[in-house]
Amino acid sequence: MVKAKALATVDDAAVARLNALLPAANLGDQAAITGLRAVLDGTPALWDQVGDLGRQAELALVRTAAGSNAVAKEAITRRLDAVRRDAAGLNPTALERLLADRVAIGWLSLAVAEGTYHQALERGVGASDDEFHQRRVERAQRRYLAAIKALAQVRRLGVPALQVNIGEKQINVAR
Amino acid sequence: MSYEARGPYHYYYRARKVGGRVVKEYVGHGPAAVAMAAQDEATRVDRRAAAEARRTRQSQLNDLDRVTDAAGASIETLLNASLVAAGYHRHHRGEWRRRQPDG
Repeated sequence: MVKAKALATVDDAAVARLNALLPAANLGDQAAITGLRAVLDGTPALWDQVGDLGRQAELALVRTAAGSNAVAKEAITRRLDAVRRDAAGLNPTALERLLADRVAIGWLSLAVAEGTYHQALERGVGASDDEFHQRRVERAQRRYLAAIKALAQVRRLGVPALQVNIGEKQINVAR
Repeated sequence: MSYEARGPYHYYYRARKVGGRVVKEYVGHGPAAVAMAAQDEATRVDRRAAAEARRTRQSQLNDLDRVTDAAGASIETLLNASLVAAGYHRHHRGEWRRRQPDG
């Protein structure tokens, strides 16, 4: 199943610095905004790492949904790719691709939460188990809706080009 | 559930809660009581195994949610950082807006 060490691939220090700078930068603090850009420019691998973390989540979700059934695994993976493609649309920016990944993860996460709840109901659940599964479904719904909303917002904003270096190539993160 | 010895005989009782109090209920003695006790023990073992399986399953699902949440949180951080770096701001965690130039 999922091991805690699977989370160790992201530069946690860079993410922590971004999170620390964000409140002040969001209020317009120029030093914080400069710091934010420095972290983004100085940690181009972060985009790949976050993408990898998303793929780890996807794999764990697919494993949970399909178990050892290879046909189910293939079908779920194809559906997941279709959800991701639909969400990303034509010519997505790197940011839109990342957000489309999040939509796909949210979709599968909700499907898995509902599926495991359904299985538990078939087995017969006690009150605490029922509550556990209901909470998971509600959380998955929130996660999915938040992902869709974030992607829609980025599209609506029409964010101008923001370039970062990913894998030694300069790419546009947003339009 | 317990056996109580009185002289040469063993009497089998079940304990259950009634209105928050534990009430002992006499089941029987002799071979019938032994069979009932064995059946009760088998039921207890099954229940314990089911509870353990449920705990294991819940723990696995919690691990899965942790990985999913971690991915979502990292993406959220990159999204927010990218938008703020690109000149946007978010008012009270609401809609994103283009920051107005100073002056």
